[in-house]
Amino acid sequence: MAARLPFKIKLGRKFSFGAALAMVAAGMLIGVISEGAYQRQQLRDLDIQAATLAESVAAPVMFNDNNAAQENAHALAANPAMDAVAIYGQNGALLASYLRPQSPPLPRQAPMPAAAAYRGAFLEAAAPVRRNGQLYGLVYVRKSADGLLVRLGRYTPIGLLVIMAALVLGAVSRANAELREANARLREEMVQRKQAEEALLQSRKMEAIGQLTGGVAHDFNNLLMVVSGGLRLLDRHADPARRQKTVDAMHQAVERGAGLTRQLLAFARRQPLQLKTIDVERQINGMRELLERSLRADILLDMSFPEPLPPIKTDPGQFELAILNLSVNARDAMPKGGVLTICARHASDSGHVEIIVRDTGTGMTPEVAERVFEPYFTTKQLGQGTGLGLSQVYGFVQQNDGAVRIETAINQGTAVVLSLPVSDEPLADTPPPVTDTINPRPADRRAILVVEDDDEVAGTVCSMLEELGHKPNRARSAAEALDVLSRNGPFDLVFSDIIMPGGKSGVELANELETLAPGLPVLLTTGYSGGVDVAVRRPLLCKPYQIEELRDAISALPAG
Amino acid sequence: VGRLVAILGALFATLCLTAPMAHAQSAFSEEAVKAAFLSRFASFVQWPSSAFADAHAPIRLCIIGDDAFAPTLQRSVGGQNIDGRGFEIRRLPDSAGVRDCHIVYATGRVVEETLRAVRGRSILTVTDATSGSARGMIHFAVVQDRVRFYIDDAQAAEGGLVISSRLLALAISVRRRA
Repeated sequence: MAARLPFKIKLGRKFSFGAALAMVAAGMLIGVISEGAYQRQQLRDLDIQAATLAESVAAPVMFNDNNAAQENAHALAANPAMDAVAIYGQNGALLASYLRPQSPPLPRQAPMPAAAAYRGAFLEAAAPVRRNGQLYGLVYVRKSADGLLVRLGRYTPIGLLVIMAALVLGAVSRANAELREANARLREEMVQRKQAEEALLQSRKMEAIGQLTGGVAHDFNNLLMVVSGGLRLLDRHADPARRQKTVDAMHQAVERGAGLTRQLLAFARRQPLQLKTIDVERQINGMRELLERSLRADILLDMSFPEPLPPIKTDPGQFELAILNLSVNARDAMPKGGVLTICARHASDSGHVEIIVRDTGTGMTPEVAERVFEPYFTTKQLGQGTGLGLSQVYGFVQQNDGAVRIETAINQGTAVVLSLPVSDEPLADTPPPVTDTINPRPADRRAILVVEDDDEVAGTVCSMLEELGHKPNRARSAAEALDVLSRNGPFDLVFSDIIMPGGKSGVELANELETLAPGLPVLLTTGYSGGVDVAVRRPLLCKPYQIEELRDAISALPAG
Repeated sequence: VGRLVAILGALFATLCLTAPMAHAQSAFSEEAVKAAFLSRFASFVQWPSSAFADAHAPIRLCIIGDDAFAPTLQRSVGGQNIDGRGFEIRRLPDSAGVRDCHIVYATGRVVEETLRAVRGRSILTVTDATSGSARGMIHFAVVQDRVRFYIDDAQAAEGGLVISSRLLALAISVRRRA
């Protein structure tokens, strides 16, 4: 289409040029024809004038009355176009004449009678003076032919009309061609824009993946930690029960890794997934890992599904992407940390399931809230957001005959409510999410408080500590650790992860312990490179580590 | 001084010799012009049809008085033909027989007698100022060395003649018909 278009335009221009040319040619032809007719008419007129003069001067010529002849000559000369009039007698003598100033002289002898004809810049005619068949003399008349300017002036109106018509024709076809060109350009731009939108959507996904990567790396390090620690334990132990427990933990860690990978792939996939009937609660619970990793450690994720929900039919990938987009927005709205709540309820009166994503963040002004669903609208800084997140959410609910609304106010947090219609179809078969824990084993030599939010990691670490002859005790967060310390103490060592959800980090915990329990050694660990620089003053063990490394790190610390 | 006088004398002599010659030529021309005019009047005058025997009867042009005029007139008329009529020139010694004429040119002493003889008839009478004050329908006069004429249209009307307005326009003066 685009390749054929320039040819069409060229043809159109050629055609209009030809038509304009034909119009001008026709105009010129009309001019030439009418000029010819005009000249013939002028000659006829001059012949008639000569004949009339000859007739009227017959008597003066016959009776040699020069005065009367002169009067006739002057009468004719009243016509301003008349250049010269001469009346000759029988013997060729000039009886009377009129000559306009600056005109060429009259013929000295009477010319031969002749019909009117053009000669140079003049028309002239000579008519005999006769009476009863007898020749008495001759009249000669000369008229100035119209000059070029006069003749051109005669055809100016038609010429102008022709030129105007040609111009209009040219302008119209030019406008036509431009319109076609603009149309082609518009189509091209539409295609380009669509491509750009697709590219942006894909890059939005890639950006989300990028944001996930840090968390995912942390997660994978934890999983690897479990596996490598487990392998080491298998080497050391012959007790079948312990070996089996270790193998189970490793197996679960591997499955979790696989699930995480699967989820990432589904999320990163280009094509939309098939429509499926899903259980909202199960679907969102399945995203827990993904969500936790995409949030920061200072944001507490709270999911609550107080009532059983009917199934909905939707594209699970798009659904998860919408939840993820809302979660990421919620995270960004809480720069100082907070609580992200995801809950769902059945609005039975409208036949919808409402999924509410609420944060405790900065909220929005009504003006911003009005625009957030527009594509490319973003409040984030350049390079931090594409502005496509909420527009994906909007597009998603539109495709699903649903609705979305925002409840927000400045510093009051934001709640986004997705309403999706309930489906009558039965649930598709989905594998249940993997959840399990490994319990720590009672220890003997050192009492160690393990602060670790990840159950598998905690399990493996506790197993390793037991293996090393210690007595591990686990807390899931810094707050819980302080609680355990005050109630279940004393401990010889605190071994804490740095990045943990729910407010306090491992570093903050260590700082507090300096005053609360001075002399209690603290060993920090992390699989997340971002927190290393903060903890550089303290003993640090990077994940994944081997049991020997753990042993050496512990023995390097003074006993509490 | 003597040579200058001689040249002036020669110039004077030349003038004296050439002047009568020029007059003589003019007098000759005047006669020829009048002769030409006489025949040309015929094409501006309409006679009643009763004046001619038939459609091809010639126009009889009679000269009374000046006998020397006849040859000139004869030459002038030539083979002229007006509306199918030729000219027949007659020289008349007096006014007797003048009633058969269509045009009469009378000069000398017979003018008044002739005019009386043709009064009320369809005969175009032409007179000449050189022959006295008696005037016919057309009366020649020389004005500024040119042959001109008076026209008495009232007389022409009496004779049932119609003179073309084109001819009337060329007259020195016209005595209008009633």
